[in-house]
Amino acid sequence: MKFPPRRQVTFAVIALALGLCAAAPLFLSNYPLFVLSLAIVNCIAVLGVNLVMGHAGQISLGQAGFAAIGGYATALLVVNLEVSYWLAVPVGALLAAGSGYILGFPTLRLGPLYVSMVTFGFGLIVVIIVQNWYELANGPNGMVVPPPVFFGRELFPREFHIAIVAIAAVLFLLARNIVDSKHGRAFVAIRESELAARGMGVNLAHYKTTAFALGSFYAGISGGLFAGLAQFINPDAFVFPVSILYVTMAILGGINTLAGAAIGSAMLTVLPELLRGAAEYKDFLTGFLLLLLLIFLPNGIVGLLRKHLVRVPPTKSGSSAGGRVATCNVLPTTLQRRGRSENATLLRVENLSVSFGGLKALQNVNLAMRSDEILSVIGPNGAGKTTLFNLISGLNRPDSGRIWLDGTDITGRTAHSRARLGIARTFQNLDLFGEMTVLDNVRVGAHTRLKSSFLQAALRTSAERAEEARYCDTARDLLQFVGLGPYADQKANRLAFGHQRLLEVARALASAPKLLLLDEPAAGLNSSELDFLMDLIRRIREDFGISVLLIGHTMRLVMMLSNRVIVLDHGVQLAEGLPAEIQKNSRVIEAYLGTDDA
Amino acid sequence: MMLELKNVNAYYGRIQALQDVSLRVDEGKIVSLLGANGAGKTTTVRTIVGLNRSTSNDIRFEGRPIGKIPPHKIVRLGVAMVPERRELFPDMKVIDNLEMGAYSRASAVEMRRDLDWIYGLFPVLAERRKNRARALSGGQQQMLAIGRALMSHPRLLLLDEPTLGLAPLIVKQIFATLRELNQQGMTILLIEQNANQALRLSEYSYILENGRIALEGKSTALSANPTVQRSYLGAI
Repeated sequence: MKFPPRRQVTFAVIALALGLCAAAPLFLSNYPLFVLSLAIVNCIAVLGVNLVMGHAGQISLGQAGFAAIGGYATALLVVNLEVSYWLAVPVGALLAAGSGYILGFPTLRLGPLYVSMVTFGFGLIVVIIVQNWYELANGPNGMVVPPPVFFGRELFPREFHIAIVAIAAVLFLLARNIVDSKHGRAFVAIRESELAARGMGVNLAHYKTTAFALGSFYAGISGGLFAGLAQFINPDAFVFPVSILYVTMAILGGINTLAGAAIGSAMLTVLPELLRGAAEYKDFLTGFLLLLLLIFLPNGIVGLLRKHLVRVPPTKSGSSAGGRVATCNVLPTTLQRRGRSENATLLRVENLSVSFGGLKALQNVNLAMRSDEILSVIGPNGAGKTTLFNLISGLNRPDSGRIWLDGTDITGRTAHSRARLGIARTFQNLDLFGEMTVLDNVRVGAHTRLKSSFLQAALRTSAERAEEARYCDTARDLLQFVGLGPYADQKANRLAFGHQRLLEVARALASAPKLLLLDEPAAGLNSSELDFLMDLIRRIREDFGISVLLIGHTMRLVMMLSNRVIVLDHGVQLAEGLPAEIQKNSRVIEAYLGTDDA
Repeated sequence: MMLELKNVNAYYGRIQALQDVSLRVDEGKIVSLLGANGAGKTTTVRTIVGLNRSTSNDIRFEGRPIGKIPPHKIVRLGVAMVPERRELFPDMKVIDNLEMGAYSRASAVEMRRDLDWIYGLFPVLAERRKNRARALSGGQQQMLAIGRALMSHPRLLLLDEPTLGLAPLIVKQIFATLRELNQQGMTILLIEQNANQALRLSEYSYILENGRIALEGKSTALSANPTVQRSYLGAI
């Protein structure tokens, strides 16, 4: 098997680190070994922070609280109920995960600042409870935990260290598998743009609560292992500064890379120990060094390594105007829907009205769209065109009126369930996942097409890998189709504006929709690029069989492509008809097109 | 000469975005900068105002090198940019957005006067001065973005796609305003995808391709050039 060099290097580094950690009992004396074990236990909690904050973008300041749940549950089970340590740790972690899951719910309605406060408060409460509930675990005095027993024998710290390394390695692997799957991409998509993520069919509630549960699970394991390692726990091990320490470790290492968790926790566990000689200056020096590192390494240590070690092959930005060829001729088989629609009317909108704070954004709008039709909505800025799209795609709810897709009443459906039913859209003001690669943006678009479960992803089953590979190819094909093939591995926010629009089209197509809503796809394209886009939209309808509802200001696009045109003005339907009729309509000319052709 | 770029090179990381770009804008003129997506137009204006850096100090404004001057000081020298996609302060009121444009100026009297001047150019902004910027329609937002740039009382105005996403009627209004501004003496460097309109408005044009100046010339000559028509303007 031949790997590209970069992967070989990564493998070598991981193997070396793992080998050193596992072999450490052979060459480290007791105390340094304890520090190393502790660093690895911390690393597990930091991995959790990494997943919740770095990937899913949910600020969590209560990680130590979840670790406390895992730690105390383990200790109490082992001491009071004489449960095996090896069973107690996962049970404690599941308890922590359960609390994380529940805590995830209030965060659905709250903004990021409030989420951080909720998690902060949670961490405080847990510590206050264990401090004051003497009957539970001796309050502030803490409780002694017997050494973990393995096949009837109490383990020495040196032996337990190996177990910690093994568990950490497995958890690391699971985290990597999740991150590199549809679920991991959904986390990042939520971080980058909740709106766009919803539009791609990502269930926000599910993924936010899952992220918290996952992060808490890691914290819980970490707490349980800490109890076994220190053989003693008290509330001091889980106070708020510990939560902050975990976050700092994650940020220092590089919060959106898993390797960062290892590096950050290793550094911040070991550093204070090295400064032990300068006892009274220890905290000061640690803080000072940390400050310097954070100021000069905004992307963490892994970010620094990437910048200097990883060479980005220069992208050939040579796709000059008109020189691009759409190479993907048919919709990749992965994206073909099972049955073709039998209903003649694909989309029906009846008496749709919505107001925003007194402003009547849409009033009694009606439209019916046939399958395989290109229908355009035009009108002045502020006429309610994008509002109509938001209502159809489910991002806003109408005050009255109904919407049917392919015979199904979807008025009450959520945005992500509409995406599943076959509505995909682009956004007028662009809502890409900026920090993700161009390719991964398209892969998120296929979110609803990928069927692998969370567990399958974590275990990286062969079916899951095959599915991932298939859709990765599909995403590349779609990028070729829209002419962005050469940019696949760039970050999306690096693309020129017009290219970002094309990326939105590719991302929307990845869900194999029945109905594609394009919100001003031509804005930011020059004339020859516009020709390319028009050809693209024609082929989306003819080769892919996808109906297109289009908002556009570019008259050449609207008039040459559309079967019919609807004109909105101040939320009211001003006219509807064939393009040629609309162009001659005096009311449309007055409100929208203008008379003078200067 | 108001603005001069000589062999400007700019990079994003290791990727070269501009390669030996040279252009000049004479006082009182409208110059347009055209080209496909990814050609480097936005990078060029960002480099002029100091948001990106050229690798050599080769940008001059009124004869003075500005390649190493921080962006906020370049604004004070008399260069204002209307950024792509407007970049307004969405939760601030219209009037506050405008006043932010005058941030680098000291005189409150002059600011009042400019405010009146901008309300004269865009009467709708006066009507809606108490509204939040995000509540404006696309066209009004673009007017606000231009108004905000004018509040720094620039001598050179850089516009990055000022008609993006605007209805045809509004596009006409924006172009008419730019012409009016120019008649009042404003020097303008315009980036525009609507190449035909831009060529009609400007005297001189540059066409960027893959980070290099591929063509330049009087706008009338470029409009008449069949190669330009075919490669950049599309058949209309």
